[in-house]
Amino acid sequence: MTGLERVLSAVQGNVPDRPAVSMTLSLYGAKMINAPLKEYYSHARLYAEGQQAVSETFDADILFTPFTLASIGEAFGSQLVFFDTHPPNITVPGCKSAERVASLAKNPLIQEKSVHYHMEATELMKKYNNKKAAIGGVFLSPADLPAMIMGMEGWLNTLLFEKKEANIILESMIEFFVNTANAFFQAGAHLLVLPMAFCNPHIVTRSMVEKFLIPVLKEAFRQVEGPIVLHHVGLPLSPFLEQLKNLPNVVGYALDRSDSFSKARETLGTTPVLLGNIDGPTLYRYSPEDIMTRCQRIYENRKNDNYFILATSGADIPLQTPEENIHALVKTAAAYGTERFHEA
Amino acid sequence: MEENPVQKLVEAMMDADRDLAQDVLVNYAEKKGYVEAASHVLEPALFIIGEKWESSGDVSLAQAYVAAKVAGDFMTLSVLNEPFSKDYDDKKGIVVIGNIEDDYHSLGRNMVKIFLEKDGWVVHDLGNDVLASEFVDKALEYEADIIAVSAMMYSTAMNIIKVREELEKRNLNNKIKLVVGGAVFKLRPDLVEEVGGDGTAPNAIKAPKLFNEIYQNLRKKEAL
Repeated sequence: MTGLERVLSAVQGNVPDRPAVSMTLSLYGAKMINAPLKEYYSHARLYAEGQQAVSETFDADILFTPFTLASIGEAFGSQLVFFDTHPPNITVPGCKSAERVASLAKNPLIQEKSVHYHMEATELMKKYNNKKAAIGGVFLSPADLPAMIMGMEGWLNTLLFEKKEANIILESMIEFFVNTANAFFQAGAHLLVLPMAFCNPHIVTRSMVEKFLIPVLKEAFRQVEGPIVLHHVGLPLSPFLEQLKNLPNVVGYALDRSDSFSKARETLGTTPVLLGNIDGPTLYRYSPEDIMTRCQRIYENRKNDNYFILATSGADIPLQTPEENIHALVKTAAAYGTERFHEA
Repeated sequence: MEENPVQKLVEAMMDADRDLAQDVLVNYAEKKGYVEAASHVLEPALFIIGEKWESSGDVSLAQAYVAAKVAGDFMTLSVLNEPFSKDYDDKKGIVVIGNIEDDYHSLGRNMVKIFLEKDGWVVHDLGNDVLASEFVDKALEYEADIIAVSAMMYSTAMNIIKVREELEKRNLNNKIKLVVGGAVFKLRPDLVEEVGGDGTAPNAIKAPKLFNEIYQNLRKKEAL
């Protein structure tokens, strides 16, 4: 089976040849081709080559488009900074006023510029994808996009104290989101991965989520022409799964290392795919044997759950992670994960 | 019966209603003075919210942000209305604060700064992306008691180790204390020790309590 077929097996609850594994190796691709990060995160061809190397080296079932969206901010006038060990970040947000955010977000040229690198990378990943891995297009929901444009504090401030302006911004983000999300699918992505920060009750109030943000997500997601996976983005997803469970086109939830699969199942029911939850950012600290043991425990926890994908949680797997540690995940899936199905 | 102003303020902050929160404080201050309002209404309300944030996790960043804004607004009003208020002349210690090298997530730092200033600390804000050597240079220049370093992500939090190394190199471990904070430390408590931190607060509202304890310990050691 190909990676894409394994992922589809999980979505449909079928038994694959071996269970799919999702590893956040967006950053790691740069190491595989020895590319400086500034080049890697600026030139789509390099990114796609890095992901191709990831696919060939680790037999990855899912490849991700760039797990950084700072370039969206850049198109809106934000300043970027590049690092030697992790993806770029925004230093100074580009927009302060709601009117400016809204007018730029509706401008097709800005829309195109902001995701040009991501779209080109997606197209090339599709072209190079001879092992037929699933391609996950990484983007942001309309609730999170403004933080990339105005900065986290700017967006929080607007949401809290300038409701009218917040509505103007959210309205403009729906169109921007839908256009871009569907462009990801047209470029070759098989699913859309959305890190969800601004719907998390750790960040905003439940009332803001329910009354203000969820209606926007419903409106936006129903217009997306493909499956969506919601990502925990470093915070536990469990506290707000109830609010997120009936959103259109959502087929999966990538959980945090501290989330409980059982609780997630209780809330979500049997069929959405749960992904998780071995910690990606600390994967370098352990031996391959330790990692295999940890993964086995996760498989034991999900023994009778066909709608499950072993995945790294958190941000990117860091560059200093030994390759053997990454191989350990697929090895466990091939041995223990497959056996699990036979036992069942 | 008139509603308890502390409870009313807590509710306003939890509803993220900045205007109502300010009204509660100003109404009280107009009757009993700004210092009284700070110590009898604002302080207890912040304590309650800080406790809720720490123990139940029922307080969101947004609610804490509103609390910080309300505290900041009220400090400004207090200084304008009672400029010689003892509450704000009674300085506690000196801190240099900043986000560590490669970290640009300033929200948490800004909130801690507000709560420390409200508590009487002299805060020198070094901004984002501050090198370890700069933290220590500025701490020496301002004669700071504490260096407070913020990081949001695991990758940038690891750069805080360099601040500890810089303090060690200059033999300042016993003179200047290193407090660390940011979302990543709440999610990964072991990281505080790993990066060489002398302590962390469970949230921004509780930062003054931690800083005061560390400050008292420093003074006690000096007195010995």
